[in-house]
Amino acid sequence: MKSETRCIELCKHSGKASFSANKLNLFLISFSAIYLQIALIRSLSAIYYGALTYFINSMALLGFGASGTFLAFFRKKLKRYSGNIVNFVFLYFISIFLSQFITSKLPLNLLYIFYDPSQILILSIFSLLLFLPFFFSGLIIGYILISEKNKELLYGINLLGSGAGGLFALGAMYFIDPVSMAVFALFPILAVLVLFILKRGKTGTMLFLIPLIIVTVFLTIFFPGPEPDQYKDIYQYQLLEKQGDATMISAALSPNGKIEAWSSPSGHSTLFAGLDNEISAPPQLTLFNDGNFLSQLFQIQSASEAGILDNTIQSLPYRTIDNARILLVGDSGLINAWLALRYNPESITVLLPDKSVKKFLEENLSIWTGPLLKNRKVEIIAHDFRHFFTKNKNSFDIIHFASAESLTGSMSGLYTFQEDYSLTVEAIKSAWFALSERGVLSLSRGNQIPAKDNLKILLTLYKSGERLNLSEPERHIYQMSNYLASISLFSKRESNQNLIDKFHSEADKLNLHIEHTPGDSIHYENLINSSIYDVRPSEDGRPFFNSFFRWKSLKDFYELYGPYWFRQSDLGYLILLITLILIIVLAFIFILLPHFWGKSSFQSPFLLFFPLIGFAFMFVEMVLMQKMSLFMGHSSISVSLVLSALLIFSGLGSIVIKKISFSLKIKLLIAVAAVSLMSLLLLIFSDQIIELSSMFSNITGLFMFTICSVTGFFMGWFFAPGLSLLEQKDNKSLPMAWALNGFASVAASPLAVLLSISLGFIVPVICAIILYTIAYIIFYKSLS
Amino acid sequence: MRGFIFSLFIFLLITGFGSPDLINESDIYSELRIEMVDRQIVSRGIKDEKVLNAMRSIPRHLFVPEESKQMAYEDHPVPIGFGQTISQPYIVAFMSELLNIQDGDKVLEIGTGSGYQAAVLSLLTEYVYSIEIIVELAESAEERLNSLGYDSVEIKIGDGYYGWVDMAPFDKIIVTAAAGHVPPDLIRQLKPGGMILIPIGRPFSTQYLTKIRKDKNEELSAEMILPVRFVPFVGQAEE
Repeated sequence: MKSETRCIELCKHSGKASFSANKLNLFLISFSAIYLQIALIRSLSAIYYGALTYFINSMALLGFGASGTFLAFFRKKLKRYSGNIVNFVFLYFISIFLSQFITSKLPLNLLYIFYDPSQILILSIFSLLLFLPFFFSGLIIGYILISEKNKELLYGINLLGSGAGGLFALGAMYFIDPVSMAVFALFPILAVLVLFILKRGKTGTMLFLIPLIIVTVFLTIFFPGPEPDQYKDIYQYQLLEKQGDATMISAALSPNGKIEAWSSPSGHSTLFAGLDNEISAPPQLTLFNDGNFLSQLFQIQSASEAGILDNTIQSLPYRTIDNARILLVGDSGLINAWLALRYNPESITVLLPDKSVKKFLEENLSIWTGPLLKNRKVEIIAHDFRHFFTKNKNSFDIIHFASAESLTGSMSGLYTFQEDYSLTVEAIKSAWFALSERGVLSLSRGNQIPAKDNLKILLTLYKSGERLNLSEPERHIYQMSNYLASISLFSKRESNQNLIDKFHSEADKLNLHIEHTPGDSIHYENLINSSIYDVRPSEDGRPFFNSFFRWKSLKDFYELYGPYWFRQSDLGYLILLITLILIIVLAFIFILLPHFWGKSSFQSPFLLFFPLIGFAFMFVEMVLMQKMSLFMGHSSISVSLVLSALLIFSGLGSIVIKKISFSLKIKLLIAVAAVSLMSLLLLIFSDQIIELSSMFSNITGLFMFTICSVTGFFMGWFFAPGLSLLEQKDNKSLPMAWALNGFASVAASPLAVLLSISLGFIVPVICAIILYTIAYIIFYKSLS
Repeated sequence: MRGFIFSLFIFLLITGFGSPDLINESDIYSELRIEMVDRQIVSRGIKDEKVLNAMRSIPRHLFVPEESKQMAYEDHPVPIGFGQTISQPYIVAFMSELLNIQDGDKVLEIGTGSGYQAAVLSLLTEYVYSIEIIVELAESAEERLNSLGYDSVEIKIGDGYYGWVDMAPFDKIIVTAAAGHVPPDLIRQLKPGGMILIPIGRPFSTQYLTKIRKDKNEELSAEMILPVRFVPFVGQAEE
């Protein structure tokens, strides 16, 4: 929408255009703005928490929207075109550096946002600092577009630059540390400044050039970037490093994250060993991904050194199935592989979702992984889980979801809005088909009171059984616990007494408590309704396993915990709510409010068309971003892909629509139908799309880019005709139309995430379809 | 007139009028402390008079950074730097009461942090041993505890995972940092009949305060008590 709004802004301001084209500058600024947007998404997930995509999106849209409002008011006062451009470019340059520098110094403490009101103020300053670069880049692009001739060519260059910036950002993730990635957006801006200065040719300004280049190079090389938040797992290791108790021994970059291996005597993982365990854990490395704990890696040479693992809850399936063919899903630290090796398996396949983790283990950490990986029974493969299960022809006796091993569901709920497609009903279903007749699926997770994660896992297995048309799904499910964690087993065959006795006998040896045994009934609806948490199984249409917030329980939480009820609630959801309010306030102040004081008219009822399509566009965009990570495997890749595709093709759509000979009513009707169809198809046929994309895994990106492009192309058909119509009806309403659209786009981003978490992707998509339909009706009536 | 107001303003500024630090700081904090115990601790069911008296007497505001003094007696944890916090008053009282410390008990604390929990423990028994892995925290806590007269606390810099074998066995062990499991060494260093209180879970997530008991026959049992939120095992407790 941002490119589209920029384009339309230029259409309404067809000023004197007596200036030479700034095509290269436009390309470079568009390039840097989108690069910056993606770099910030990447960098925030490394410094703070993942899945802050919606936040950066909103700040970027806020910046672009506010720049439009600024131009609408002050354009006539901007007399010196070239001079103004240089000034704006310089301000853009400075704003990137300042926003990076100051945000890194701000004592932002998201976990204290509910205790300390000053944190709201700090979050507001933080947001404004991130907003500024987008404001200035939007200002430059908008100013060039409204002041130069040959708008369509300029608009094309704008889109090309934006798309190239998006794709470049994706590539840069392989080479640039995420925390300092944003400052590289300075280079294209520097190039613009250099071009301006060289063009002027004055010695004085030329002298200005040298320090500017030095400063930029210095910043990009030596600017360390903000330190990881003090609540990131890696922060504690960095503290230990300062006193000589930890060392970072290896690191690697990829779009999926920055992987680091740290050595410290303070790493003590034992998986989920029971209380009776008396064996100390062997020396181990700690692996992090983007500063978040990924796994431990035992520094041992043979399975005999991993005796502690016999006391873990995870050992249960290995004790009951001999000579098993084992699949370990997401065993990034290979500890489960050591465990499996102790039980004389036929084969062990370690499935990692990420090629870079595999390479890291095989190459960077070969000293420690070599002894395991040289074992002829062990194979390590890198493949997206869901694609793997779709393509897989082998069968396994034990499939263990090591990726689900966590003590608690989320880090203070801050992963609430991180989509996770490996623990959905559909994921369990697809893994089920890879089980042999005697096979079991196994998942282990930390215990909670009241029950939370493990209850959700139990219900997910039950629901998967129902979807698999098992007559009595509960007869396939076991759940047992020690003092730390529970193990849930989903057996392929229906359990008989012999099998139950076998599991119980091994469970006794581990001192496990039986939580559910085949034959116990599972009152699915009752369990969901009576829990104070949201324990509905996560599904591909609502893949938020870590989301446990439930509006209905707020009263219970308050009664139980008093004014500090939120401590036990899901902070992630509430933080999302607070940022939504903050973003709405900022968008109102910077985009809408000036228009109420200015000469803008807001009398025309047709104005409603613009916020409607603003909300609809962003609802679809956010769902596409979250849904695409199912097919692309990681959210950073999916965000870059969706953003680039939508920017390029929605803009292209708004140009092409003029050249299509149908009437406007028909064209918009086609657009409503096409967008509705594409988004619904994506949600309804996601299983088939996974199948299709796994058949052509080498071109999955291209396939997904095409889906987004087609959707974006038709979404670009609304704005331009809307503005043309409004121009005929009430010319003075144009700035207000643009502002309303911008405001809606900004607010819709977090709102879409909230709706998706609570109600599933289908709701924002249905809302988008309804909003587009209402917008169409308004358009139709206004045209009549 | 304007000159008079300006002079008055300067006078007030110089004399520190209105500043609690300069008027009578100890009185104000003492009132806050008593109010904290009544409103946050007694009202929630903590009855152990020894614990209540300890918390009424220890100047909690001296265990937090200068800029956080105003928050010291509020009903929540307070950041003390290094990604660490001083625990919410209620949780300090709750854990101290749950330990049921008797005169002469030997208590090991893992995660000294600011030293506040150790100060409370030192008023319940004279044998308090505390381990802190972050050197700066350990040194400042030791200095603070000594200067305030809680000098019976012995502090060691090191990894609490291995306990303090030279001082073992202990009657009670309190871990004030999130741990992934109960370290086997701590179990070994616990006397029969002793108790370990430990928050099990990931740092900054909701953890579960877990009570581990070792009976006279050295049989172990575990009981989840309540959800809490602590910082990592390498540091001090939060909530």
